[in-house]
Amino acid sequence: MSKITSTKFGHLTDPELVQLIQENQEYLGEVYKRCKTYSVSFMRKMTNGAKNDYELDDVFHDSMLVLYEKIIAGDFKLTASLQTYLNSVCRFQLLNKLGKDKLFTDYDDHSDTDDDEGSMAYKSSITDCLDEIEDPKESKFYAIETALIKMKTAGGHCYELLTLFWYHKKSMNELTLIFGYTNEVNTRNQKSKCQKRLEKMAFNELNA
Amino acid sequence: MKKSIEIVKTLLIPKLEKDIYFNRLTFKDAFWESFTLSFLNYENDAKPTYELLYALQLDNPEIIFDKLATIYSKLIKELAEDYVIGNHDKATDFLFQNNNPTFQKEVRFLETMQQAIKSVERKRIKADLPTTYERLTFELSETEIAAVAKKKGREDLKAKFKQWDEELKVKSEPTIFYSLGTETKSVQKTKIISLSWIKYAVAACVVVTAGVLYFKFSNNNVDSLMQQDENTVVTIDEKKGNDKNPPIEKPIETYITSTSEVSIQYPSSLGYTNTGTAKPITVYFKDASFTIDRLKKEYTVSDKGAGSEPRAKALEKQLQLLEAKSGKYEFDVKQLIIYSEKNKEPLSILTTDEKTFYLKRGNQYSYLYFTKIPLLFQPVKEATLIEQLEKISFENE
Repeated sequence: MSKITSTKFGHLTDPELVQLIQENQEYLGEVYKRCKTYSVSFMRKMTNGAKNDYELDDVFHDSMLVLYEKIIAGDFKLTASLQTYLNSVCRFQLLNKLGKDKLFTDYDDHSDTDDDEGSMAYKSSITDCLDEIEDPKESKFYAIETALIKMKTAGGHCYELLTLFWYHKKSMNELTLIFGYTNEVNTRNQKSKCQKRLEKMAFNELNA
Repeated sequence: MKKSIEIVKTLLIPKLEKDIYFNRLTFKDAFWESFTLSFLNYENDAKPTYELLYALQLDNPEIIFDKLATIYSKLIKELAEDYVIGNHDKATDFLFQNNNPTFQKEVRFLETMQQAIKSVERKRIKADLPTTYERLTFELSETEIAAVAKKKGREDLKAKFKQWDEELKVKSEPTIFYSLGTETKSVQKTKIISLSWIKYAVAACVVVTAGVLYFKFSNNNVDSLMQQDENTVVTIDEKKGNDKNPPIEKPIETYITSTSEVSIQYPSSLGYTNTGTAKPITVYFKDASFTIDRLKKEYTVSDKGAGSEPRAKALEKQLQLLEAKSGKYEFDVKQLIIYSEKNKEPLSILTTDEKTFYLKRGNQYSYLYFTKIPLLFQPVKEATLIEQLEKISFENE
């Protein structure tokens, strides 16, 4: 378990946090606050200064996304502390970026002798990483993405409804409660209307 | 297949209910299964679906046939959504294996849409991550809400007063017009009469009061002179009060204030180091120790005197207020107020991410929270954070 921190929700255990993140994405903030400093230090040590802080921050952000997407997929089982998990994901992602070069191998050799086990620990068996978005340069993808951003800027509930369903994996029942619709059929109809609207907007983008 | 059957039932039964022979119909599970299977192939071969519907012996099956295309489209969309989410069953596998064009087109669109949503949401979450904790812990205190509500309430009342003033102006004009013949003359006349009457009344009051007071004081002076002649004992008028106990309302210099300006120190990665472009924060040192000492002395004196309880209470209250703030701080984006004496230790304000601020006094680091309620300084204890802050401090020197 990661050490208790001076954050507002420092009293929560890691499994409790995972449970809360599943219900409310904002609790990622607590994990971020708890683990970022150590994970970045871990990566700094690992890369021996070969990567700047911006790059390390980016790797840490990606690791947070890996954790979040694992949690909302519903099949996430915490076998170590969140700190160790994030360190491991950061390590694996850096390994992919660095291409197993000498810098990493040197650190790997000395990892067992590290005395700061609580904050610098990692598990080499954890190989979770952020999956690539398929074909981001395809015109249809780009059109939908642009339409989605326009939909978000325009306001209304469509962007939230679609993202909560398709990315955050909320069920129809949960969406009904979040948006205050009378029943699931209504929610399904609303989602369907939003999807049609997005389809139209994307079509216009493609033919603009 | 169960899910597909349920979808078909939900879409088809409302249409069938409109037929006059619907109540005579009994649907067995076998019917729905065979209907769903044939309906999945509706796009390639609609005949089996029509035959099953004819077999129901409806009054007007053609009305249902007209709606089959829409029902089919809806069914395919729902099954495609299920397929993209990852819920595969016999129906989706059938559509996929048979290369159903509508289904495949819908699946492709939904998959691309899902990827696009994932991309946009990932970017949003990544951008929001550094501030997520602040959002999670943000809450308004009751005092802040009360202050805002009070301000709004006062503004509303003022607006009402203005509205009433306008109404009064409008109402007063016809009354004057009614009481006297012509408008301009009548108003002037009324004012002259009332004012002159008040003027004389006030003058009379002043004259009478002055006379009475002169008479009274002249008598007192004569009496006291007579008493002094007869008796050499000097008495003090109790009403004049005790000079050793000055009233609490007497203005007291509460704080000795000194100010200085401090620039925020950023990590070099944020690109601010030594640029000098960031706005400085004004630091106010408010030292109340002199006032506290003075109040304590006055409190000790006033506490002994009989009948000086209200004064002692007032002093005690003021003392408590000053002591409660002592050693604490208030902080916002523009200023930092420290309720203590300014010492010679160098002072600097640091930030790691432009959201979390820290105060460095000498070699000590403390957290700086945005607060309007005076807070005690909370020292930074985490070694890594201290190391990070020292690095920022070093880079900015």
